Amino acid sequence: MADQNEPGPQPAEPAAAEFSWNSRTRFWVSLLLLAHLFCLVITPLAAVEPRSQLSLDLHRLIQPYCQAMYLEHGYRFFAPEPGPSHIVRYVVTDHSGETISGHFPDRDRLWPRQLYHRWFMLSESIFRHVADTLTDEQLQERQKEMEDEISELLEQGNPRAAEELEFQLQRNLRDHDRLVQMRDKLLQDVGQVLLERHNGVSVEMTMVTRVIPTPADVMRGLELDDDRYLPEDLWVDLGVVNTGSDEIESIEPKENVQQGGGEEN
Amino acid sequence: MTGEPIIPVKSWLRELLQAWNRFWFTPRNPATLCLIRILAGLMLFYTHLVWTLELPTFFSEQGVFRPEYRELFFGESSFVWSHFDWSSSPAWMWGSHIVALVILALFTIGLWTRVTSILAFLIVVSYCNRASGALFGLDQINGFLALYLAVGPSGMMYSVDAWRARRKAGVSAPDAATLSSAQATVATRLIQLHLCIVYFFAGVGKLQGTTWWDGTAIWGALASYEYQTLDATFLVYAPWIINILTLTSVFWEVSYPFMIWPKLTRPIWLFMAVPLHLGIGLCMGMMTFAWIMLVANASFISPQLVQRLMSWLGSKLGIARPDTANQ
Repeated sequence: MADQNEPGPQPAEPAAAEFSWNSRTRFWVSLLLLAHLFCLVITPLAAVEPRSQLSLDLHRLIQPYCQAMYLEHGYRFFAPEPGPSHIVRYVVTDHSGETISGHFPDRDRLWPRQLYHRWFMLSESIFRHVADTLTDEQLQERQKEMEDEISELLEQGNPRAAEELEFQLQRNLRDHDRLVQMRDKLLQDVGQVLLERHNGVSVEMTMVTRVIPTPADVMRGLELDDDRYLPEDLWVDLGVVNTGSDEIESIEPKENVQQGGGEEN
Repeated sequence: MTGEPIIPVKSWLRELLQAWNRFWFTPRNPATLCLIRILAGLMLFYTHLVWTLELPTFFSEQGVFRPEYRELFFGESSFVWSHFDWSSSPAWMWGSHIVALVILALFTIGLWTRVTSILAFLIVVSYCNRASGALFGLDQINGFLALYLAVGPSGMMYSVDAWRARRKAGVSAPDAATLSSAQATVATRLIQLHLCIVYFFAGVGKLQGTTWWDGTAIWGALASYEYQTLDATFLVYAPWIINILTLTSVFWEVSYPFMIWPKLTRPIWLFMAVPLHLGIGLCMGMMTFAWIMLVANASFISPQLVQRLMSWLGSKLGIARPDTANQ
């Protein structure tokens, strides 16, 4: 595997002819390379939680380039650890009231594996959107906590810190609102695709979490697809989508959705 | 007092600059890059061919990622683009898809590579930007390989372009010196460095998790029903093997950026990539990801070895390889 182009013991003064590019070209190309390498290092630092304010600020500067070049990745494959997987189950009701049920990803239906993986990643995307959002109750609770903190700061005579916290609160509320819209939009769109596919009038979706069996369970002879690895307390009602409707009904994410690292990070 | 500085900053900087120049700009034979073009090109073609099965689901305006969702997802950035957004007509979607597949096939065989390599990169980005919620590691590696193959002279060897050039010039083999270029070096170095960054972050990300420390993380991957393709849960009876696999994986990933450069350790670290990625591919149903990671690792194989391998392959297949005959 020896590579004759590797840096290593070399003559101290390389002859100018050693390089096919002149020094001016090398200078400009070097600048471009340094800028590109900077982007390659900063992006993974900013793409995945936890992240520093510095990496976020630097990332903001380089984001247009990284987006255009499709470099916005964290590369945290199966990190921090392999987690549970998530499956979307659905029940479609057609015009005559008959129901068709299914789920994705579906190992029996989706072939080749690459296609199965696309649907698997879609279900994981839905999971992340659900996990990122709070219930109304949770949101109100968080908002109240921050408002109390703001009042406390004002009472302590620290209006500047209170103003900063108020700004943060408003930003959090705006961000959360966007996350809710995003989650609902994706669920509506997925629901509409399922309705079209099965010629239905309404579809009810549920997100199911499959926890990882323990070694002891497998030793006892339990199969990996055993239903006990789909605990009902981790099911999340994703709501109902009706044909032609822009609304999704009754989404109520639970608190205990389980996070884990997949290969999409 | 001789006037000599205690720390010879100037000479150190001069040496650093020389090392930088040697690393990036010493002309390099493009054999490795051209082999990567074929291997990555096959994967690009396959990846996009599979999209054909559900093109409207993932790429039409009535699919799962509609414009309103993507506007919310990406914000108002105009740098996230996709040619699928230029028209909502099914004819455009299917027509452009067929053209994309043709371009990727031409890129793989190395026809009009200067143009098709750039178009191949744009195709990869365009598809990824449109199907943002259905992507995984494979797409990320596809993306950067396509980018660097467009930067370098990836069609100079083992390509229809090379064959046509030889035919036009009426020579059986090009001069070896004319093949080497700084562009090939820059492209190869970018693949190598980008791969180091990928492994480094994949490794340090794992260090945050307890199961990568207690040696059980691989169990979590092997026992995941949604991933599993080959049953390796019999390893439950040999927990120390799971421990070794887990700890070796994380150690290998974290150390890769440092151990892949010395000539002494490079063959070992490269060799370790094979069982690691093939294991993931076979047991977890991710052969495409395994393939593309091994292709990226091939950037560390010297052009001389690639030429010998291709010559041997050519002779076995009865194909003359005149472009390597005199090197």
